[in-house]
Amino acid sequence: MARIALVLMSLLMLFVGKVYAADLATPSMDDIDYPEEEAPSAKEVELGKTLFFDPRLSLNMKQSCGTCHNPDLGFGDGLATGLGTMGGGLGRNTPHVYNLAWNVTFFWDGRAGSLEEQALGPIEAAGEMNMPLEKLIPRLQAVKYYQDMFKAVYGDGINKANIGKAIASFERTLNAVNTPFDKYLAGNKTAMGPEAIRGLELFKGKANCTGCHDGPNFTDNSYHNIGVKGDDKGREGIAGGKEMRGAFKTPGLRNVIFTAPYMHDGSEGSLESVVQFYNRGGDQDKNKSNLIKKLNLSDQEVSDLVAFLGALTDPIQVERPKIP
Amino acid sequence: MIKTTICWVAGLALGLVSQVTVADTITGELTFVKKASFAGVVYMESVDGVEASSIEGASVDQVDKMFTKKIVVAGKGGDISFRNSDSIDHNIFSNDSDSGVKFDVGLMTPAGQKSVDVTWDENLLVRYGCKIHPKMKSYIFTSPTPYFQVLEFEKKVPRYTFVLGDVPSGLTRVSLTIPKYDTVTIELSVGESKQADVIRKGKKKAVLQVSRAQ
Repeated sequence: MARIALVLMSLLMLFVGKVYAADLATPSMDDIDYPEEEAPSAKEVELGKTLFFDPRLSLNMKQSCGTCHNPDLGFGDGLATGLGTMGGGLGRNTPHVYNLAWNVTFFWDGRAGSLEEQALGPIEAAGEMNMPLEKLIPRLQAVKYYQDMFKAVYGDGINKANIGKAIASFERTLNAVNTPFDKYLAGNKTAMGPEAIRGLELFKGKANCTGCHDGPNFTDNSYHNIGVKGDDKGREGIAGGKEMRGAFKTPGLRNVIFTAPYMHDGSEGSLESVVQFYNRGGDQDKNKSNLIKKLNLSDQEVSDLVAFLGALTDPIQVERPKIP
Repeated sequence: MIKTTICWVAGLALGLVSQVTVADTITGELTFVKKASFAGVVYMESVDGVEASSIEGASVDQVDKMFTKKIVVAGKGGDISFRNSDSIDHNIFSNDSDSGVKFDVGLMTPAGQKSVDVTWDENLLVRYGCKIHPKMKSYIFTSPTPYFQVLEFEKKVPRYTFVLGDVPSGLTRVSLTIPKYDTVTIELSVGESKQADVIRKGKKKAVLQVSRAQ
């Protein structure tokens, strides 16, 4: 009887240890869930791009979306935690905006359910751009370019919803889909070096990175407490449930080489330090996901994983528009 | 590639329209203009003053971080059974502003089961998901009658067919509901074939064609 129980327990452990991971792949443009079920027009994207870089979107006109999501800094700001337009510090690292076209919830804690909703959040947030939309709309209406463009694209002119739609439409074009990894997948076996190829196998195997960073964009779009020190409630603050305490959204890894520093609090400065963090099984165990365990990676294996992460790079050149 | 779930539940329809004994067959086709949507339900509307039979056995599983059904159909006053066949935790919940329905089954560990009582109105499409894995999404549809068929769409497949069998002749209105689309209802008698545009936000997205025969 004891032997049967032991076998059953072993089988259960095997079952629990195996977590479904979606295949790593090249993202398909056909899989984007556009809110209007079709890609936005070039005019809408252009309008969104202009808004994205226009400092009018902050109360004191010192910050645009592109200030913190700076294309020269991997659409981040290079800081551990962000900085608001009035000079105050923010509590979390500025997330990058690569490949959000396939994303489903936004912000580290997932408090926005669409890119349109997300786009408006930092504009209005007092600690960020501090710009109430009821003030922003007349400010934009005073600019002929915006009057004409909003009318041409949406018909009903400048309003809150259309501002969100335009910015989101631009953000959905910031897609890294032609990395060395994608070329490797497509059959070019020299597109990645041997260290990156070894890193890929570690990523899927011994290091179990695909337990969370799976699918075409290397994210399960889910929330995990990975053992970063601190008292930030994370997803619990939005969705409730103690099991969500300290859990944050898995960030996508395409172009991750550009998006340092890492983690929700920007506490890891390099990709090597991130891999070392996981190698030691995180820094605190309270409420930590059971997916995070010591990995016993050698220095060579850490290096190989970093090389693989580097193979997820497809630089996106964005020429800043002339602000009207 | 057409993926449909046909629900033959004629047995549950006993007594639905007691004065009617003739049963008809509704056939039809839905063709999207461009990309197909997520999923939809074709169903027969109820008749005023006639109590619809209950729809039993509504259930959904969670496998590989996905719900096994894009739309699960239930009857008002019934329940839906949820199962977790994954090796990880899930937490099914709904906070659907369109329908106003809210529920939260709490944490579901592997092999866990929970159920939800359907206390809300008929003809509602309620979006629900997993609190931990927000990419997981599905809908609950409260059908007014047990004559329905769920159509699960794939973006690249524009054309879908359906058959509703053993429909009492007293039920003459066939409807199509798709999340975020206007519901289409067509009055249909035996021998008739009709079609209607399917609209989303004022734009024609698909064409619904239906026929009725004895």
